[in-house]
Amino acid sequence: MEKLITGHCQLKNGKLFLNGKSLFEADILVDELLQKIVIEFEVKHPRFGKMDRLSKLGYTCAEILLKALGNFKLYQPFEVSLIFANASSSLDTDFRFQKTLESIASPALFVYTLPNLVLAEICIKNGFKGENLFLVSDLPDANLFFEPINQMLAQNITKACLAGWVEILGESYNCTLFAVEMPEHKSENQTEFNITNINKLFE
Amino acid sequence: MSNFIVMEQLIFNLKEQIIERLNLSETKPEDIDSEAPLFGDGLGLDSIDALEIIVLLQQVYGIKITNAEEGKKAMKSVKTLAEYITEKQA
Repeated sequence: MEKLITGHCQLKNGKLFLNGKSLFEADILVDELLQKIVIEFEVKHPRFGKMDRLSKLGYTCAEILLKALGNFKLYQPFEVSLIFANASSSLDTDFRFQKTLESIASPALFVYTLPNLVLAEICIKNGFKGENLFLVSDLPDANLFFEPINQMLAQNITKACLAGWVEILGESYNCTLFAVEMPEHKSENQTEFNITNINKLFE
Repeated sequence: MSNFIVMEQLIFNLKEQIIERLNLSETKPEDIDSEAPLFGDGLGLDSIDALEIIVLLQQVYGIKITNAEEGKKAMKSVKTLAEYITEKQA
Protein backbone atom coordinates (compact mmCIF):
# COMPACT_ATOMS: atom_id res chain seq x y z
CA MET A 1 0.00 0.00 0.00
CA GLU A 2 1.17 3.49 -0.83
CA LYS A 3 2.19 5.90 1.94
CA LEU A 4 0.04 9.00 1.64
CA ILE A 5 -0.40 12.37 3.28
CA THR A 6 -4.09 11.93 4.10
CA GLY A 7 -4.75 15.37 5.53
CA HIS A 8 -3.13 18.57 6.72
CA CYS A 9 -4.01 21.56 8.88
CA GLN A 10 -2.27 24.89 9.26
CA LEU A 11 -2.73 27.83 11.63
CA LYS A 12 -0.50 30.79 10.78
CA ASN A 13 -0.90 34.58 10.70
CA GLY A 14 -4.47 34.42 11.98
CA LYS A 15 -5.56 32.01 9.26
CA LEU A 16 -6.69 28.43 9.69
CA PHE A 17 -6.53 26.04 6.75
CA LEU A 18 -7.69 22.45 6.50
CA ASN A 19 -6.45 20.49 3.48
CA GLY A 20 -5.61 23.81 1.83
CA LYS A 21 -9.10 25.19 2.31
CA SER A 22 -9.51 28.34 4.42
CA LEU A 23 -11.67 27.62 7.48
CA PHE A 24 -11.26 30.64 9.73
CA GLU A 25 -9.57 34.02 9.72
CA ALA A 26 -9.20 36.65 12.44
CA ASP A 27 -6.67 39.38 13.05
CA ILE A 28 -6.45 38.95 16.83
CA LEU A 29 -3.87 37.90 19.41
CA VAL A 30 -3.04 34.22 19.44
CA ASP A 31 -4.58 33.46 22.88
CA GLU A 32 -7.92 34.87 21.81
CA LEU A 33 -7.63 33.25 18.39
CA LEU A 34 -7.15 29.77 19.86
CA GLN A 35 -10.02 30.31 22.28
CA LYS A 36 -12.30 31.30 19.40
CA ILE A 37 -11.21 28.36 17.22
CA VAL A 38 -11.79 25.69 19.89
CA ILE A 39 -15.32 27.00 20.42
CA GLU A 40 -16.09 27.50 16.72
CA PHE A 41 -14.87 24.01 15.74
CA GLU A 42 -16.10 22.27 18.90
CA VAL A 43 -12.75 20.86 19.94
CA LYS A 44 -12.91 22.07 23.53
CA HIS A 45 -10.98 20.21 26.20
CA PRO A 46 -11.69 20.41 29.97
CA ARG A 47 -8.01 21.15 30.60
CA PHE A 48 -7.60 23.61 27.71
CA GLY A 49 -7.32 26.65 30.01
CA LYS A 50 -4.54 24.95 31.96
CA MET A 51 -2.41 24.05 28.94
CA ASP A 52 0.54 26.19 27.92
CA ARG A 53 0.34 28.08 24.61
CA LEU A 54 2.42 25.51 22.71
CA SER A 55 0.07 22.73 23.80
CA LYS A 56 -3.01 24.83 23.02
CA LEU A 57 -1.72 25.52 19.51
CA GLY A 58 -0.73 21.93 18.73
CA TYR A 59 -3.81 20.45 20.40
CA THR A 60 -6.20 22.76 18.50
CA CYS A 61 -4.76 22.01 15.06
CA ALA A 62 -4.41 18.29 15.83
CA GLU A 63 -8.04 18.03 16.94
CA ILE A 64 -9.33 19.86 13.85
CA LEU A 65 -7.28 17.59 11.60
CA LEU A 66 -8.22 14.39 13.47
CA LYS A 67 -11.88 15.37 13.47
CA ALA A 68 -11.77 15.90 9.70
CA LEU A 69 -9.95 12.61 9.12
CA GLY A 70 -12.36 10.77 11.39
CA ASN A 71 -10.57 7.43 11.11
CA PHE A 72 -7.69 7.73 13.59
CA LYS A 73 -9.86 6.33 16.38
CA LEU A 74 -10.17 3.11 14.37
CA TYR A 75 -6.47 2.37 14.82
CA GLN A 76 -5.23 0.46 17.85
CA PRO A 77 -3.62 2.78 20.46
CA PHE A 78 -0.08 1.56 19.69
CA GLU A 79 -0.58 1.97 15.93
CA VAL A 80 -0.62 5.78 16.03
CA SER A 81 2.63 7.73 16.36
CA LEU A 82 3.40 11.42 16.67
CA ILE A 83 6.44 13.33 15.42
CA PHE A 84 6.45 17.08 16.02
CA ALA A 85 9.19 19.67 15.74
CA ASN A 86 9.79 23.37 16.31
CA ALA A 87 12.52 25.99 16.65
CA SER A 88 11.88 27.48 20.09
CA SER A 89 11.23 24.29 22.05
CA SER A 90 9.24 25.36 25.16
CA LEU A 91 10.88 28.81 25.37
CA ASP A 92 7.53 30.65 25.32
CA THR A 93 6.55 28.85 28.56
CA ASP A 94 10.11 28.91 29.94
CA PHE A 95 10.03 32.73 29.89
CA ARG A 96 6.67 32.76 31.70
CA PHE A 97 7.97 30.28 34.25
CA GLN A 98 11.14 32.32 34.75
CA LYS A 99 9.00 35.35 35.67
CA THR A 100 7.32 33.37 38.45
CA LEU A 101 10.74 32.62 39.94
CA GLU A 102 10.84 36.24 41.10
CA SER A 103 8.36 35.22 43.81
CA ILE A 104 7.32 31.56 44.07
CA ALA A 105 7.75 29.23 41.09
CA SER A 106 4.49 28.15 39.47
CA PRO A 107 4.11 24.33 39.47
CA ALA A 108 1.45 24.56 36.74
CA LEU A 109 3.87 26.38 34.43
CA PHE A 110 6.81 24.19 35.40
CA VAL A 111 5.13 21.04 34.09
CA TYR A 112 5.00 22.61 30.62
CA THR A 113 8.68 23.55 30.43
CA LEU A 114 9.24 20.71 27.97
CA PRO A 115 7.99 20.90 24.35
CA ASN A 116 6.84 17.28 24.17
CA LEU A 117 3.98 18.04 26.57
CA VAL A 118 1.95 19.01 23.51
CA LEU A 119 2.29 15.40 22.31
CA ALA A 120 1.13 14.16 25.71
CA GLU A 121 -1.99 16.35 25.62
CA ILE A 122 -2.95 15.02 22.17
CA CYS A 123 -2.15 11.40 23.11
CA ILE A 124 -4.10 11.53 26.40
CA LYS A 125 -7.12 13.08 24.69
CA ASN A 126 -7.16 10.52 21.88
CA GLY A 127 -5.74 7.47 23.66
CA PHE A 128 -2.71 7.22 21.34
CA LYS A 129 0.10 5.10 22.75
CA GLY A 130 2.49 4.77 19.80
CA GLU A 131 5.93 6.29 19.28
CA ASN A 132 6.42 9.95 20.29
CA LEU A 133 9.20 12.20 19.11
CA PHE A 134 9.69 15.95 19.45
CA LEU A 135 12.59 17.50 17.53
CA VAL A 136 14.08 20.98 17.75
CA SER A 137 15.38 22.52 14.55
CA ASP A 138 15.92 26.04 13.16
CA LEU A 139 13.39 25.70 10.35
CA PRO A 140 10.59 23.35 9.31
CA ASP A 141 12.16 20.80 6.99
CA ALA A 142 10.63 17.68 5.45
CA ASN A 143 13.80 15.72 6.15
CA LEU A 144 13.07 15.91 9.89
CA PHE A 145 9.91 13.91 9.38
CA PHE A 146 10.35 11.84 6.24
CA GLU A 147 12.88 9.24 7.32
CA PRO A 148 11.48 8.43 10.80
CA ILE A 149 7.92 8.15 9.49
CA ASN A 150 9.04 6.13 6.47
CA GLN A 151 10.92 3.69 8.67
CA MET A 152 8.13 3.30 11.20
CA LEU A 153 5.58 2.57 8.49
CA ALA A 154 7.93 0.26 6.57
CA GLN A 155 8.79 -1.72 9.71
CA ASN A 156 5.15 -1.89 10.74
CA ILE A 157 5.94 -0.07 14.01
CA THR A 158 3.10 2.30 13.25
CA LYS A 159 0.13 2.44 10.91
CA ALA A 160 -0.66 6.13 11.13
CA CYS A 161 1.38 9.14 12.03
CA LEU A 162 0.45 12.66 13.01
CA ALA A 163 3.38 14.95 12.34
CA GLY A 164 4.40 18.52 11.80
CA TRP A 165 5.73 21.84 12.95
CA VAL A 166 4.30 23.55 16.05
CA GLU A 167 6.09 26.77 16.87
CA ILE A 168 5.14 29.62 19.16
CA LEU A 169 7.12 32.42 20.74
CA GLY A 170 5.17 35.47 21.85
CA GLU A 171 2.85 36.47 19.00
CA SER A 172 4.89 34.60 16.39
CA TYR A 173 3.34 31.22 15.72
CA ASN A 174 3.00 28.57 13.03
CA CYS A 175 1.38 25.20 13.34
CA THR A 176 1.45 22.97 10.28
CA LEU A 177 0.38 19.40 10.94
CA PHE A 178 -0.15 16.49 8.56
CA ALA A 179 -1.28 12.88 8.78
CA VAL A 180 0.47 9.98 7.07
CA GLU A 181 -1.30 6.68 6.50
CA MET A 182 -1.35 3.74 4.10
CA PRO A 183 -5.01 3.59 3.04
CA GLU A 184 -6.26 0.91 0.69
CA HIS A 185 -7.52 3.48 -1.79
CA LYS A 186 -6.25 6.94 -2.56
CA SER A 187 -8.88 9.66 -2.19
CA GLU A 188 -9.12 13.22 -3.35
CA ASN A 189 -6.87 15.64 -1.39
CA GLN A 190 -4.44 12.84 -0.53
CA THR A 191 -0.93 13.19 -1.88
CA GLU A 192 2.10 10.94 -2.02
CA PHE A 193 4.20 10.99 1.14
CA ASN A 194 7.51 12.41 -0.07
CA ILE A 195 9.92 15.24 0.78
CA THR A 196 8.60 17.58 -1.93
CA ASN A 197 5.00 17.28 -0.78
CA ILE A 198 5.88 17.72 2.89
CA ASN A 199 7.90 20.85 2.11
CA LYS A 200 4.94 22.24 0.13
CA LEU A 201 2.88 22.11 3.35
CA PHE A 202 5.44 24.27 5.13
CA GLU A 203 5.41 27.01 2.47
CA MET B 1 -18.20 43.20 60.50
CA SER B 2 -19.56 39.89 61.79
CA ASN B 3 -17.46 36.73 61.64
CA PHE B 4 -20.01 35.25 59.23
CA ILE B 5 -19.63 38.11 56.73
CA VAL B 6 -15.83 38.00 57.02
CA MET B 7 -15.88 34.24 56.34
CA GLU B 8 -18.27 34.61 53.36
CA GLN B 9 -16.03 37.34 51.89
CA LEU B 10 -12.95 35.15 52.36
CA ILE B 11 -14.71 32.21 50.66
CA PHE B 12 -15.65 34.44 47.71
CA ASN B 13 -12.11 35.80 47.42
CA LEU B 14 -10.69 32.29 47.53
CA LYS B 15 -13.00 31.16 44.73
CA GLU B 16 -11.88 34.10 42.57
CA GLN B 17 -8.22 33.45 43.34
CA ILE B 18 -8.54 29.71 42.60
CA ILE B 19 -10.25 30.45 39.26
CA GLU B 20 -7.54 32.91 38.27
CA ARG B 21 -4.59 30.87 39.52
CA LEU B 22 -5.78 27.58 38.02
CA ASN B 23 -6.99 29.12 34.74
CA LEU B 24 -10.53 27.83 35.20
CA SER B 25 -11.63 30.38 32.62
CA GLU B 26 -15.15 29.03 32.20
CA THR B 27 -15.90 28.76 35.92
CA LYS B 28 -17.49 31.57 37.91
CA PRO B 29 -17.25 31.91 41.72
CA GLU B 30 -20.97 31.07 42.04
CA ASP B 31 -20.37 27.79 40.15
CA ILE B 32 -18.16 26.53 42.96
CA ASP B 33 -19.96 24.89 45.87
CA SER B 34 -18.08 26.02 48.99
CA GLU B 35 -18.46 22.61 50.57
CA ALA B 36 -17.84 20.44 47.49
CA PRO B 37 -14.54 18.53 47.31
CA LEU B 38 -11.83 20.44 45.47
CA PHE B 39 -10.29 17.21 44.15
CA GLY B 40 -11.91 14.23 42.47
CA ASP B 41 -15.66 14.53 41.97
CA GLY B 42 -16.14 18.18 42.97
CA LEU B 43 -14.11 20.78 41.14
CA GLY B 44 -11.96 18.01 39.62
CA LEU B 45 -8.60 19.52 40.48
CA ASP B 46 -5.38 17.51 40.20
CA SER B 47 -2.06 17.27 42.05
CA ILE B 48 -0.52 20.20 40.14
CA ASP B 49 -3.53 22.31 41.10
CA ALA B 50 -2.90 21.34 44.74
CA LEU B 51 0.63 22.70 44.44
CA GLU B 52 -0.74 25.92 42.92
CA ILE B 53 -3.13 26.32 45.87
CA ILE B 54 -0.19 25.85 48.27
CA VAL B 55 1.66 28.63 46.39
CA LEU B 56 -1.48 30.80 46.54
CA LEU B 57 -1.74 30.37 50.33
CA GLN B 58 1.90 31.33 50.70
CA GLN B 59 1.82 34.32 48.33
CA VAL B 60 -1.52 35.85 49.23
CA TYR B 61 -2.05 34.82 52.86
CA GLY B 62 1.54 34.25 54.00
CA ILE B 63 0.67 30.71 55.14
CA LYS B 64 3.14 27.91 54.56
CA ILE B 65 1.79 24.37 54.76
CA THR B 66 4.50 22.23 56.27
CA ASN B 67 2.43 19.29 57.47
CA ALA B 68 1.03 17.11 54.66
CA GLU B 69 -1.88 15.80 56.75
CA GLU B 70 -2.84 19.31 57.81
CA GLY B 71 -2.69 20.43 54.18
CA LYS B 72 -4.87 17.52 53.07
CA LYS B 73 -7.55 18.45 55.63
CA ALA B 74 -7.36 22.16 54.74
CA MET B 75 -7.76 21.51 51.02
CA LYS B 76 -10.91 19.40 51.24
CA SER B 77 -13.12 22.27 50.06
CA VAL B 78 -13.11 26.05 49.69
CA LYS B 79 -14.84 26.29 53.08
CA THR B 80 -12.20 24.20 54.90
CA LEU B 81 -9.52 26.25 53.16
CA ALA B 82 -11.11 29.47 54.42
CA GLU B 83 -11.40 28.03 57.94
CA TYR B 84 -7.73 27.01 57.80
CA ILE B 85 -6.68 30.52 56.73
CA THR B 86 -8.79 32.11 59.49
CA GLU B 87 -7.29 29.77 62.09
CA LYS B 88 -3.72 30.44 60.95
CA GLN B 89 -4.25 34.20 60.84
CA ALA B 90 -5.89 34.37 64.28
